[in-house]
Amino acid sequence: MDIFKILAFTLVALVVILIVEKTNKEIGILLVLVASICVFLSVFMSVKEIIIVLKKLADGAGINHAYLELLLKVTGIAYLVEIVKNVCMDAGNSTLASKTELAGKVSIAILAIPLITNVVSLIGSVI
Amino acid sequence: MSIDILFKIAGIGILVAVLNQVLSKAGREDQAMLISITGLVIVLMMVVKEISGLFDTVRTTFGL
Repeated sequence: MDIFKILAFTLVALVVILIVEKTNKEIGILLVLVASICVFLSVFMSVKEIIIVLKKLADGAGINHAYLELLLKVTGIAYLVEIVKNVCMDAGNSTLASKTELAGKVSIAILAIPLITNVVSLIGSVI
Repeated sequence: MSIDILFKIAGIGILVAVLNQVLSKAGREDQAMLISITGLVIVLMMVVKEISGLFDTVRTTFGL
């Protein structure tokens, strides 16, 4: 998906959202969400190729596969939390935005715990 | 890159707004409220479909 189509799509979506938002705000916010999902999904196909290349590099460098899986999980969570947080900020509700951000951070922290224990045990064994 | 869903939702939004004006001018405020709620529900159904597509794509790709 070349960049020009995406930019044109975003500008058209912006104008449409401004028109609809004048009369009813709820559908305007839902439109913002749908537009961001469309742009994200259209770019997402190339993200898959990036992931495949990363996996090849990781195998070549002999990095443990689990770490790359963890990294991809964290990136996925970060993407989704980012989308929801920005939509909440657009709607003017910064409380919800900070709460979704908190939830994203906590879930990423939970995912990273086994990694942290590995590193600590590694350091312990070295010293 | 489905821009038609964007226009569909915008169409529903504008239609609801027009119907709201017509009904409120005709003195039927309650029906105007009902129309706006049904319009919102329809749009929500479409948006939920898009969101589930997003979540499935991200889940399969990132192994979540």
